[in-house]
Amino acid sequence: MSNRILTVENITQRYGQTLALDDVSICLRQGQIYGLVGNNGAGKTTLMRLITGQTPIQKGEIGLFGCRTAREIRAMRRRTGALIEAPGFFDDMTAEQNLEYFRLQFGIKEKKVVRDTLEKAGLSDTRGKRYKNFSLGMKQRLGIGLALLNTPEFLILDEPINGLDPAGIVEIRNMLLEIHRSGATILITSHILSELSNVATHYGFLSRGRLLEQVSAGELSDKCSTYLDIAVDDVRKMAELMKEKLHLSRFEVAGDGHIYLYERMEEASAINREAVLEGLKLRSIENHSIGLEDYYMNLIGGACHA
Amino acid sequence: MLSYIRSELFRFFHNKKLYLLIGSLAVLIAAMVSALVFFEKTQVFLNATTAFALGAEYKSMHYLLVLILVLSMYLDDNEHRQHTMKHSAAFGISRGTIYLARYLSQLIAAAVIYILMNILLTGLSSAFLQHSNVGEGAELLRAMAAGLPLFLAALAVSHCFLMNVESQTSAATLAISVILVLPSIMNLLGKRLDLIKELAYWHPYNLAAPFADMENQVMELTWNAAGGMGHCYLSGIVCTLIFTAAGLSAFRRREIR
Repeated sequence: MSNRILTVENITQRYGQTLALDDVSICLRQGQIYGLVGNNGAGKTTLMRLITGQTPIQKGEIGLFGCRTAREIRAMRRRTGALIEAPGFFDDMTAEQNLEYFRLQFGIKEKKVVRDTLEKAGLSDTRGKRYKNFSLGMKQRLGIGLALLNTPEFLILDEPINGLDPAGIVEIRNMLLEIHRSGATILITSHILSELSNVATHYGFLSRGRLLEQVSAGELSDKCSTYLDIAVDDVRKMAELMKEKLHLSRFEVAGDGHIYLYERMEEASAINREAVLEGLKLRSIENHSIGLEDYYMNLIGGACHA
Repeated sequence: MLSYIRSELFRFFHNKKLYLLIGSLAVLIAAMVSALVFFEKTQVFLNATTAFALGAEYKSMHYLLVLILVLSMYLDDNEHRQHTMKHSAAFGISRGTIYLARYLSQLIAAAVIYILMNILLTGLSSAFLQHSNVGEGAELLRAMAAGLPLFLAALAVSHCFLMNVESQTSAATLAISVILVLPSIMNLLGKRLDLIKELAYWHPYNLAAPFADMENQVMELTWNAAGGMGHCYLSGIVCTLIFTAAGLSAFRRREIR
């Protein structure tokens, strides 16, 4: 697990006045499935475009498989597979012709790889159908197929399950897990965070071009596991009590007589006791889990901490 | 580079729109020869000859430069809409290889199509028209030799814009401006300014166009005039180098989406 597959160091990227990425650094080690989480415009796709060489880097450095010079990185990209945004194929060619075009271009010797990839992507029965007549899901499958054409050691996927039906999502998830089991490292983004949490072993949270946090799935699970939902008659007084007497800071005051506490949840009885001593009426104290979505929203400040 | 060229040739081979263009050109050639045969049969008509038919082509080389632009659009197959180059970049193929391989592939395809059309024209003319035997075949070959560097230049101009401008229509407009509009403006200004007149002479479009030989009262072709063939090569190669260098430099800095 110590081999570095990708290192992104202090990348800053601007589009005119807009700061797309602000001093972003990440590191992916062999065998990880790294889920990049961020809202629209957070900089996920920009970062992926830089990694895949679609966009020249303005400031910062990227390393791939331990290589750092532009020439070496280009050579290392042959060990990667990528699908960034919507797949790009020729409208008037079939799935097989499109993959054959890239097989020739990538210098892959075995012709058989095209048929195998089509089968893997679930497109072996498309035969004479032209790409322009494909459904969104079929196009996405072909894009994923192309990313797998050269049996990559490092897979970079931007929104790979876009347009897929539920069965397709499960199929792609299983495919990714299988590729991961065979030793590949994966960098993936998805708007469907619940789906991301089914596969990712590590997470990076991006917002407005800044990397807010990097955690492993285990760490995230600890952080997300529970929060304390305190229903009380006077939330303002309760918040003051929690801040001043109990020295708690990571809590959120909801407008409906509830306070959500994200730290020291094991001290529920102490909180209860202090509240009673202060004359507050507690209606309930309950443990809840939060999902990846809520965690991200809390992280970017979607919740208002008291 | 070779792998990329092979893949591009594979794509051209499966491009139905390209076959449509080639078919249309073949129909136009056949229609011209048929019209000459028809006129000869219905009235006194002295132009139903191989010299006239082949001359119609080599005296219109400047229009072929515009045709090269159209062909290059067909060969590009609207990359701006299909976004396939991002996969090439993601696989680690260098910008230089992408740019040059696509240019060379287009050049190979354009050369094959041009030769095929000339074979068709020569074949149909020889089969159905009166043989002039005034060296029209050699004249056509000479025109093809002179046209080669000028075609290279036209293709380099078109490729430069297609690879760097985010819309095929805008790229086509810019390429046509450089190949067709610019020489017309230079010719007009050249009537007043000698320097512009001198510069206008070296534009590939003007070198490919027939000019009036006032002394002998005939239309003359640049490559038949003294030093003309050399001028065609010099202009074509310089123009190709300038636009390839400029296009490649811009392409290295642009984002491939």
